Amino acid sequence: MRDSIPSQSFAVHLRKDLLFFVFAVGASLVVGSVINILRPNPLPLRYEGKEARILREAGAGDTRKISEGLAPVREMSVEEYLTLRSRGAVTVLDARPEIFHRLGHIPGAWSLPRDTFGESYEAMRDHLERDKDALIVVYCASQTCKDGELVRNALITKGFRRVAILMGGWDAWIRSGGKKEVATP
Amino acid sequence: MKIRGLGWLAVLVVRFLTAAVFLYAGIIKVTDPSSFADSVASFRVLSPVFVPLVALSLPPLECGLGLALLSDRWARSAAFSLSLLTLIFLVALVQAYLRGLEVDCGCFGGSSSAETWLLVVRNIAIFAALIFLYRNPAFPIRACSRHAVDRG
Repeated sequence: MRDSIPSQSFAVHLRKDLLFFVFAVGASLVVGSVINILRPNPLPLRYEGKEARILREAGAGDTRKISEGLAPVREMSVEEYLTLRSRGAVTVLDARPEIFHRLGHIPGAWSLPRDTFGESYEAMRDHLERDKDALIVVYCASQTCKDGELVRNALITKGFRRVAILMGGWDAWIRSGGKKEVATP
Repeated sequence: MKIRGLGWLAVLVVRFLTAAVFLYAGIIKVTDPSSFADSVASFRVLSPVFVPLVALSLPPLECGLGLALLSDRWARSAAFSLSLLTLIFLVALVQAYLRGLEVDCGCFGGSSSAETWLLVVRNIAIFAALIFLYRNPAFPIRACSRHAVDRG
């Protein structure tokens, strides 16, 4: 199977391959940087964690102080949520990426993805800010997903006082037999 | 050039499949650099300064090397480069597993998390394919248009 490999030494091949790798990495760095510059929202050149990013989008100041000052997360089971929903208005927010929200969400849930919190919040600001004391329930994909907590923290920095996380998120809702609403195109 | 049996077909199939995997992975990551940066950061290996550099350069690198894998001239060098990248990623995965970190590999998009051991197995398979291509780069794509039976 190796009939047509040229008869060069392994060291020559290795040097050529290493040079190719170095060149490829350098060229990719340039191309990636140019693509980033051309983006409407370029990636910052110093990494900012998910939590700091969403709190900055929420308009928080010193994000370290905000994170430390937040109350422990209030969680709510699916049963509790259903009971509260039957008694009155509850705003439900889906913190998963919008594509997942479109594929299926808790009936009545609004999409407020963690990764586009800033612009998504602006789109529903009027609806949400009518009553900052109203109960809001945020859910994510599963118990291990942290996006729900991050969205909750961002809402609290915006002055919302009653924000809870749905325990187990979408997975728990589906396991409990909850109906699925699909976004209309 | 002698071509024996259907070995040339195996090389061709592996080349196309491997190139497709890396092209797809690169394109998906280019569309969401923020999520990919989160994935890179989840390995807790790089400082905040290097995370964006990797997040910005790796997608075009994967796309470029995937395309180079289809080129007769650069297939071997591309296989070498991709093997090196896969090895680095495997080391990162293993260290994350040993440290008990919950990582999101970001391999095929921001929400593509999977059990770490599954990621290790998948990448070992990719590494094996790349080594195979590195040792057998010699069957040009244009050979598929020639009669492939050894008349020797």
